Amino acid sequence: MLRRDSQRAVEVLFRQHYAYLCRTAYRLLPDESLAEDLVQEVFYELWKRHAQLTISTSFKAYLRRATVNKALNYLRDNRKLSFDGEETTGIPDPEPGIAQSLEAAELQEKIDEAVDQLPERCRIIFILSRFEEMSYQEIADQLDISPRTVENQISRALRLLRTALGPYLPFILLILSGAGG
Amino acid sequence: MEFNKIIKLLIKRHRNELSQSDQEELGHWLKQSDHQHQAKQWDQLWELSGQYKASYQPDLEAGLSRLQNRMKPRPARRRGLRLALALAAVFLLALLPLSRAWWMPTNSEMVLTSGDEPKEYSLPDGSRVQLRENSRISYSSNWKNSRIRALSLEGEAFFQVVSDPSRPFEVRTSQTQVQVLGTAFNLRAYPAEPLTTLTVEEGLVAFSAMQGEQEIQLGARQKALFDHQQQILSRVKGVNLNARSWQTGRLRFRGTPLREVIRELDEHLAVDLILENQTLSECSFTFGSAQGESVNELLENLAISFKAKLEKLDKGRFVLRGGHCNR
Repeated sequence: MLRRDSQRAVEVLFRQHYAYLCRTAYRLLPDESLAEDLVQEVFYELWKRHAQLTISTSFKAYLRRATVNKALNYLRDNRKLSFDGEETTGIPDPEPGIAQSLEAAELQEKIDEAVDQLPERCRIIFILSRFEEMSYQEIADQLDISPRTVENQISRALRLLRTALGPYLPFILLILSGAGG
Repeated sequence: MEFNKIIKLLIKRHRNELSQSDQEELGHWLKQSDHQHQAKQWDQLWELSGQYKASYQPDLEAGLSRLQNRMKPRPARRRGLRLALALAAVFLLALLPLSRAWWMPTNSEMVLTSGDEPKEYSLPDGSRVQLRENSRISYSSNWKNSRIRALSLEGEAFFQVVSDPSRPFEVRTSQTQVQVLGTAFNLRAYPAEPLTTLTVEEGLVAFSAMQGEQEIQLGARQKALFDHQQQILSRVKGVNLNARSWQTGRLRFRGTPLREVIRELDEHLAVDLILENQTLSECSFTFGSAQGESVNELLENLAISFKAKLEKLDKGRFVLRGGHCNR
């Protein structure tokens, strides 16, 4: 498909997967214009290299893998991500006296904030497992750590999230069921 | 049972990765009082975390048109439009000194590098950069939303800036800065070199020293230098046709002093030309290279027009012996 009329083919793939890939990159980074820049590079490279490229998986899987790699490389190159040494958590204590109702937009904010404040490597591992359909082993290979560390970090993430979001859970349930899921 | 272990099992259940023994272990734990309720809370939390950044919606059409722009060969720009832009630039440039304060460095930085060979990049606004070897550009990751399109350069690059009168484009080097609204120019600022040089291909550019008040406005085909040691910004006389010569490998001169020709040979083509007769350095030289003409032809032409003798010392090094200005 890519060999003939390659530009059109790349455009079709772009329409199908751009939003999905931007979200993937954005969750890892998390920075909108950076995410869009990286995904832009993924497609531009696809276009430049389409003649030499053999893709054994689906395009979606290939593009997702390329995007995840780019995002992780970016974090590494900019020394945002280090896989040695301990990190401290920036999770704040939940505010006292929670409001009686929580709007959906506020809830979104709380969730984003809680995940953003996870220690960086804990956050990355959590995101990769939660959203990118990667096994513990795959994540471990990608980040050059042990699968046991991966598992520990994921459960650590959930415990930290509970500290941040736990008090909101009763309201959250209302909103989620109200929104139909 | 250990609390942490339960969380791990619950996560595994979400991932459909429970083994037979895991399942038994979890089932046993769930039978105890209140545990069902606890498990439910963890499940809710897991579901909730799936909402992370769910409100983000990237602009598909903007992204696509940026990609399309990069995929197609660069279209020629219309001359009339360019003139209008240049005129607009004259007015807006007057406001620029005020705008410098808008630019604030942020903690997140986007870096483009070239390594051993030149590379081409597209910036978030669609502007293009041809980055020469061993060069580096960085800009803030929220560039797209900032009021000035500010970036830093170490090394040499040719910029083709998409016009946006509301958002000036600014390049900083260690010693100078360049501000434009939409134009094409080449900026050379390798930290190890004594000069920063700016050559404008089209449009209008404000070139200023980082320290002090010096500022020069350059139009199309003009060139200026900043001397790091003396901290002096100066305009190179005459017309400069070589803004992108390091990419094309072609040099053209129109009444250019030989000393400047020598500098351009060094800068663009890494050719070192030594004058035995220093009085030649103020002689002017004209040479319009045709496609495919080599450096050797340029040098031979140069020797002939000054009635000098060209001698090759070794690769990329030549000496011009004798000679005098024509006329």
